[in-house]
Amino acid sequence: MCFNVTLVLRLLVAVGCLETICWQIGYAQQAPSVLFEAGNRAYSTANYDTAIQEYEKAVTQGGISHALYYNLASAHYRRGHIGKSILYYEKALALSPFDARTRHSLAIAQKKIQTAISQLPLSPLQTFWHYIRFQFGSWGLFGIAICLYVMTIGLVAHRIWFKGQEAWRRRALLLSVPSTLIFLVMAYVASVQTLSDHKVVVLEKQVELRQGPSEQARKIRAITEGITLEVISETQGWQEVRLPNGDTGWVLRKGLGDV
Amino acid sequence: MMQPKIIRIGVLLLLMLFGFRVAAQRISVTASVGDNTVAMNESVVYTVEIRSTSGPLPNIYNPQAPDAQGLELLHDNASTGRKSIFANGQMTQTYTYTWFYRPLREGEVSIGRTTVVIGKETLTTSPIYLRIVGAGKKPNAPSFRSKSLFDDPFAKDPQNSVQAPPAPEVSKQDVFIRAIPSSTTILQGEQMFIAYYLFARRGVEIRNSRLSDSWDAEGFWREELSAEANTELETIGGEAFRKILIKRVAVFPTRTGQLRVDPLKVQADVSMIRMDDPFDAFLGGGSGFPQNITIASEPLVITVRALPSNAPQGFAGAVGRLNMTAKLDKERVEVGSPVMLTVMIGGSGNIATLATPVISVPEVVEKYDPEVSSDIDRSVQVYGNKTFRFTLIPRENGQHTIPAFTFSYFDLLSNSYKTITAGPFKFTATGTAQSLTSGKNVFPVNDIAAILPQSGTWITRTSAPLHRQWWPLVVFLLPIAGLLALVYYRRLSDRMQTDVAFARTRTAQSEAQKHLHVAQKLMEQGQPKAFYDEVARAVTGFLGDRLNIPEKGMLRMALLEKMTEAGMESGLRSDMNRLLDTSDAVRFSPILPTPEIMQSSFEEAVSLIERIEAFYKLERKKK
Repeated sequence: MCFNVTLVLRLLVAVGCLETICWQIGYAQQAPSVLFEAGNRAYSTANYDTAIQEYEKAVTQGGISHALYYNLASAHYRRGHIGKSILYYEKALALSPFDARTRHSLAIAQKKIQTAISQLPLSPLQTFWHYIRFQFGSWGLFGIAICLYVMTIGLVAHRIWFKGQEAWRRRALLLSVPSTLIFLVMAYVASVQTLSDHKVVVLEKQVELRQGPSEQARKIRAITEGITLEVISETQGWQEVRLPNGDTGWVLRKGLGDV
Repeated sequence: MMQPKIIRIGVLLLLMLFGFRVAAQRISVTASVGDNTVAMNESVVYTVEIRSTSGPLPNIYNPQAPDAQGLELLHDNASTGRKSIFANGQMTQTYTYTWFYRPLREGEVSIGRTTVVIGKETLTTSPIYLRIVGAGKKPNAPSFRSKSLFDDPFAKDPQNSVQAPPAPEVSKQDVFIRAIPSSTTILQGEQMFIAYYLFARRGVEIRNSRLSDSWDAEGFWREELSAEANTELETIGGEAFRKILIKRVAVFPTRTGQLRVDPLKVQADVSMIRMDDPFDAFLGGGSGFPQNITIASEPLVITVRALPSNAPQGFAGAVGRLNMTAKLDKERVEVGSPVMLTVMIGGSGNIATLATPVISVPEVVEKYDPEVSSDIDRSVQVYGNKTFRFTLIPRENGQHTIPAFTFSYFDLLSNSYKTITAGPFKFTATGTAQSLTSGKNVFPVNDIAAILPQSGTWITRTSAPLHRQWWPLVVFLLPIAGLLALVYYRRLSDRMQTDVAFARTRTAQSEAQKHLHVAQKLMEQGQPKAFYDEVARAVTGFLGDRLNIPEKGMLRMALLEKMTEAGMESGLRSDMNRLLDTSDAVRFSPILPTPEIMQSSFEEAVSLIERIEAFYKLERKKK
């Protein structure tokens, strides 16, 4: 009888442990959305510090969503943390490049940058490419390429099945084949560029841009909080960056946030 | 002391070197001043004269005023003159350029050389040295003129010219500014006006007046009012003065106590008209040299009293005669769409500094910082309105109420605090919260957009970029596979249409199966004749298709011969022959076979077809 009681107790403990583990797993899975809602409640009562804490917990839990980054950026903006608000708006925009709300709020936050750096004027070709990349993204371009490809395949199938030399089909093929190739190449280039697009945002009030990766290197200029920089290379706690106006130099890694 | 001597020797040498050449050209350039001793309150008149006695002068490039030490050039532009005289059969042409300088200090001063470009010639004058004395200390000495290197030897000596009597000095009694406040004791935030008038005695001429210093009124909010430059005549102390309004300003004290308003300082070129000369007076006055003087008003001291202490809650310092109106632009709106609450505060008072009214909204309604605009009339007094446009966005449906809000101000007419109430305002939001995220893009003008109520899709990890995914390649390869299948099918179809033997071979099995299927049904229905007919067709048809024997040639003997030719075993031929015999016997015999016999024949037919097929497969393999 004694033996049986011990066995039952052991079983109960084992079941309890298993249940706890399962609950933990379940909680961990739903935690980001729970924290997101808690953040929203705090935000709606203008308790922005609590909102930031809740949203950041959600990020720490591994939650990645456009809305989470967007709301976290907005809470930082309300608290006057311009650098962090721009950083998270940029992150939100990276997940949803077409979102007008994020673009609007990012533009508002960027107006608060103390010393804005003018954007280097782009050539007409660069402007066109930026527009295409921004509007469609690599996946959008790939989608167009697929549509054109299917059309090309359809035309070839028509040629195989019905034979004969039809002028309209020849013209359509002359148009669809190079178009497919162009869009495929553009999708590929856009995709490769997403990997090389390493951007950082200045989070400290001011960082120094230097000529080399050293405190002893000559100062080029100061960069204020909120400026987005393009990373060229990285070495021993320093990053070589390109400013919006095309200037390049080195900044200490610790004052920057990765987009 | 040595330096002037050296210069003089140099000048002499240069005169010897170039004097003849210039004389031959008969063009001279001289620089002179009106007087070599000038009082501090006088102007120095510097004239460069270019004279030609050999006909018209070539093209002259306008000379620049020379630099001066101890003097200040009043205007960059020179006043020019031109004169042509024809005497004794000779034309003399003269150009003059005149500049005015103002003394900066007493003592020795100088005016540098002037370079004149005439056609291709470049001529330079000598520097001129003068003495500046204090006002009223000018000796009654005859003036002298410095000789230029290129002086015309026949020019008239200016020492002999008659000097005009000195112009009378301008005193503070002749020209002054008066600041006239509307009141010297006011309440904090109350509007007050200050008018600045310039008074000028008859005979005083004022030119080029400008503010010489920044005017300030610390402790006041200032609004510049429009001031029309009308000139009136006013008698002060029995003398006629011209009175010119030069500035009007509305000020609003922002703190209490004795507040000082700075004097208004104006710098102007002032000259006195010699009214004692009847001829000059007739021509409007022979004005003396202009004196550059600074005219200033007296500073003002304004006493600012504090407002009564019984200010209502929410009072933010508005003083004047004000009113407030508020309205919502719509009463029904979709969730996520904006409603505009417009609050307008207007009247007479300091409109620009009116604080934003405090408006509370329900938690489910988002309120954005207002868009503020002002429409202020500054002609007589500061009067107008300030509009606050609040953007409100409901996040949930239902009826929402914006509670009543107040605006308090100190009314100058009743000398008491007044509070105006607006609202409450109600509006209904329809639709669902979903429209907030997918609805129209309406965002506040100068603020970030509202947060997102729904988290949307959670991403477990950032997906790899396009070029690092495998499935896009599959998407591209699949249509190619389909295309290859189509090519195969097209070729097969073509061969089936053109190669009869191939087509019959391809369809032999299926045709035989069809006949067997029909035969089975006939067997079940108990129709032996029709059954055997179908069995015979199935077997002979299959063999005919396989051996490509035309329909007409498919007689039993021919079939058996073809089987032999094809190399089929004798057992197969005899089985075939026996099945066809059974079939003929049943079709032409009155005795009907039993179902068992029919079943046995059916199985035999199936077996025959399989064996023939196996034979062909074997043959194909051999090939």
